[in-house]
Amino acid sequence: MSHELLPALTDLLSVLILLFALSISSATTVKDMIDRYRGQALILAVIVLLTATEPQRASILPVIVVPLFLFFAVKPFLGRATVTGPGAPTVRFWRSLLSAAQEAEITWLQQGASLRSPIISAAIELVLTVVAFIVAYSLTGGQQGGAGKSGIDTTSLAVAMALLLLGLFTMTNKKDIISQIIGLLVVEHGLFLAAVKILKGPNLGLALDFVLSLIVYVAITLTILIGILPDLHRRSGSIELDKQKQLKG
Amino acid sequence: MSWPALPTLCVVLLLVAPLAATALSALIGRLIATGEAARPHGPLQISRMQARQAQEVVTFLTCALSLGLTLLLIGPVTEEPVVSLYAMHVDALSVYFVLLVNVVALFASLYIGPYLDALGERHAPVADADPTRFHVLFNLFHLTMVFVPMVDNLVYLWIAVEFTTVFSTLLIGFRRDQRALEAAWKYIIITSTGIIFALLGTLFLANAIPEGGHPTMNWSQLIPLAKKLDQGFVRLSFLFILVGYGTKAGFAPMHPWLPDGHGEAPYPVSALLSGVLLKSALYAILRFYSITNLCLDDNGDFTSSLLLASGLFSLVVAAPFILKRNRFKRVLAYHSLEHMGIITFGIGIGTDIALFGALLHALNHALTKALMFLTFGQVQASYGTDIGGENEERYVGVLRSMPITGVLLALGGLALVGSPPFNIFLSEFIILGAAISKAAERGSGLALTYGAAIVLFVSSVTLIFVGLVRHLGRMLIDNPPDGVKRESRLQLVPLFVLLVVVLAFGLTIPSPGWFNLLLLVQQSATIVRCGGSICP
Repeated sequence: MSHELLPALTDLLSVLILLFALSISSATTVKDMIDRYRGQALILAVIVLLTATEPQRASILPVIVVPLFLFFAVKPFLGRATVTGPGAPTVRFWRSLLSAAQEAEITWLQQGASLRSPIISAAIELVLTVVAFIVAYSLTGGQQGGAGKSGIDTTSLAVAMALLLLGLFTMTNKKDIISQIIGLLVVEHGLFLAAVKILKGPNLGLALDFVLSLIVYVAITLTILIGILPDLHRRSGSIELDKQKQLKG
Repeated sequence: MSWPALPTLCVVLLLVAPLAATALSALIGRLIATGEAARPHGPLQISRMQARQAQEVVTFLTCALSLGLTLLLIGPVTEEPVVSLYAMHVDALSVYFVLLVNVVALFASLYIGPYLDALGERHAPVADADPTRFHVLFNLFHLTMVFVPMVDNLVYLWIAVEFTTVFSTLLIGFRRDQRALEAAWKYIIITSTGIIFALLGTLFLANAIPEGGHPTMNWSQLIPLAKKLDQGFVRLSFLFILVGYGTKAGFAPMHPWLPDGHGEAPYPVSALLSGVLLKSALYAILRFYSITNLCLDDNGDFTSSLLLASGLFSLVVAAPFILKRNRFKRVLAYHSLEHMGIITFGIGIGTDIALFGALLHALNHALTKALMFLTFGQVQASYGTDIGGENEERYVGVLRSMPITGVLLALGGLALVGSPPFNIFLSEFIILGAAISKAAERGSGLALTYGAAIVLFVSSVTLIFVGLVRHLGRMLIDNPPDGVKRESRLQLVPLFVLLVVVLAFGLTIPSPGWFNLLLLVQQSATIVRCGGSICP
């Protein structure tokens, strides 16, 4: 593929990720949110692949493990967290992962509503996206394709920041815990995109350091999902945030 | 053993010891006899009580060993500021924060047993209060907190801080009732979101490194390179770092997890969370602070304005929550918000004396907060209230029902609100004095700003004083309810030792040859201000 086309293609895919993020935030069911999140993860994997073909960016390729892992793992792990039940021995744990997503679908179709009305939510999302683009343009001087004043692709940086803000908004705008986690995972995608597009130069060591941190972050998030959320669900009997407000902060 | 080898050995042992304690605690848990009579019926089986006692001894000895190793490090580090070993960089600042961790961990480890006893008596099935799980998590938490100040690479620093979040989450949710799990959930969600900003900040700093050569995220190698870094990205990096690690440090407005997390955690863990965990995030901010100031070369104006604003805001936000009626552990948690605000305010002033005061305040707060949480834990245990329960109204008449504990609580409370002659008064006074000096040397416009900041500082601290005195008054005076258990005098001995330390550090800062805390804090302040042991 021509090196002139590559940046344009990754920019296009970045915009597509942004559209997915907007659709995740405006989704009305958890099932839709999860499916769209998985789509976003897949696009992110493609972006990593394309970026790795750019000159001196091959060191970025190992990072593809993260979005691919999330693509496959997010549904079963969230499924298990949704289905009420105490922790189980290892064999049953892994078996329960396989069936959990199916069992959880009924709950996922009933949950996912927003706290605010669709119009207000959409307006807020638009404002957040615009803010992200303004900040990114002011940082990079508006240059595209890695030719910015610090060698950063403006569109990708803007999308990364928009994902951060939209993910945060999703976390605060939904009524259930699973949607909150998806919001957090969208924020992770923003971080991931920033890491892929910001790290410049052939320094493999530096790139691998950040890859390690992202892997650790995802692993820890999922570990907590397994360790805390099922018990919380079991105790409160619900995944709705309203039922988790015994503490007043 | 030769002089250069001893510090290296101490550093290695500081990491190995808690790891070994974790493994040993888990192994001891495996040896517990099971079956009908649950009596040991083989040479390799022990009773639950024996296992618990063994685990408590292991944890305590590990914490004691860790403190001993840290004290051994103080001498060599202040003379030769660096111990470098693979990805580790141990200078005076590192040793200071490791000292903080190990002092509080030692005292907290003494109260694991009493906590589990009280929990076992009040709460549900023993399975929910598994001592093995507690000791394993405690030792792992200890390990990660010791590791944070010793790591050189800023990306690994982030990973280490993230691991402290994991283990502290599991400890907060230890009771596994809804309140504890909700607190753990809130904690992990808020801090995980914040920590993403910290990683982005680290990423921006990586991008600020000029191309060519062998870029590295090691702090010790970034410091000499600071003036060549891209200033725009360094500014952005610090902003994100302040938000990210600031969430973990409990700065307002990212603090909502603080009262729930500290309030619902087991009280030995609350002592660690409040006394040390917040400081580990602060430590990360300090490392970036040094780089940022050296890069921007603006007399610290950029970082100063952010930190002053952040510190004052935290202080002001804490005041009304301390004034209002609330569960006592949550009140103590809001005091953490207050004191982190004071420390940040001191760092924001940025002068040598202010940084000295801020760092000293970190230690003083850690000691005093540990005293309060551990003492209040004795009250909870004796009053027979469900340890996770809401019934704060029962906590009255402590001075009558538990006179020695009541006195400890009263004196600890006075120390916490900055009364002389206790330690917090000394460090607050140093910070305030530094602020006044700074206001006096600035031009009229900034002098006005500093003046307003000082007025806000003093007003907030005064209101907080009133608030805590009211809470303590409500708790200490009046007639106690029936059924309060007698206080255990043996369990109060470590708290008395802690009180003596809190008092002693208010009268002087130790500086004998083998434990030159004064020099350690001075060296640490120098490192924070200009990244090395010698400032230009």
